[in-house]
Amino acid sequence: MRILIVDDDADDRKVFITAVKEVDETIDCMDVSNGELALSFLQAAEELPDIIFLDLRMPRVSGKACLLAIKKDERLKQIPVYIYTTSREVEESIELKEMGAFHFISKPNNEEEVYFLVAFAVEEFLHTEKQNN
Amino acid sequence: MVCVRCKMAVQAVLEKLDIAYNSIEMGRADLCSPLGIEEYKTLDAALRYYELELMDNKKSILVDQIKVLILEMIRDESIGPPLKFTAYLSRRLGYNYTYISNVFSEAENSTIERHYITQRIERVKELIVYEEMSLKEIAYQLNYSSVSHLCLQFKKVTGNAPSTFKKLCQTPGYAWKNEN
Repeated sequence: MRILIVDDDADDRKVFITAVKEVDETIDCMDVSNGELALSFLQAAEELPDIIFLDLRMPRVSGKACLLAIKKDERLKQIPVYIYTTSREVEESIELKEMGAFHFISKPNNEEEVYFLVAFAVEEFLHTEKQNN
Repeated sequence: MVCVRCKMAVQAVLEKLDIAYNSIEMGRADLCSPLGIEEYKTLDAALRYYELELMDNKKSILVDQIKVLILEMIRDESIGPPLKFTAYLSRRLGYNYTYISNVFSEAENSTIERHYITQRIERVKELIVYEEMSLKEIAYQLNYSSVSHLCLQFKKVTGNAPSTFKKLCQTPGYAWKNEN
């Protein structure tokens, strides 16, 4: 299984990657620091990630713009995108889901909670795969 | 009010106080008429004996309902896996999931996802202790993606592998249940 985290905060990326390894050390977790790099990475990738966690407030290409680009791309649009943000705005979550985000997750206040969010998302994905196969 | 025993306690209290009700479900009792101030205080005091309390704050009630629904989901195999979790909560409670999640996090200082995972692990513990089920059977019943993931989560939440937990339970007096 492969996960891509797109977040301009290096500490948040580090915490996230640690959580992924705790959930399952066999998961390949890739990280990039902005939307522009994420899109380049995805376009060039031979093996696409199974889930993308996408921050919203990023320089150059925002999370929203990145999400739009992913959903417009025939090759990328099937990848579930979890918006992973400090925002807790209900209206924003509705807007992003209408744009194609699979889920809207507010970043928790402490590092331990990140484990549970990642564990939940991974379970969700693996269960879907099981049902589809 | 998150278990059958709680429901029975509420029923007993209402009947003892001669307060007419239409129905009692997990998390709520539908009374036939509004309570007066003294009746409210008497009922609240009577419930506290059973470590229950009246909630008249909408957000507190919502948090309680979330917990009740999570327990229902874990215990009712027909409800399904995490995939339908957010949609299920949203539909049952009539609120957007982000709103539900925010209310829960503010009140509990923890996420719904954490609560769900820890409650599911509590159920794993019950099934190991009471039903003596194998991990494979438990993983299947509780919709884990694999036994491996069940074991990893179990260790993370409890600090012990399921096999270690099983051995510890054989120790007389070992308190395995998390009452929170």
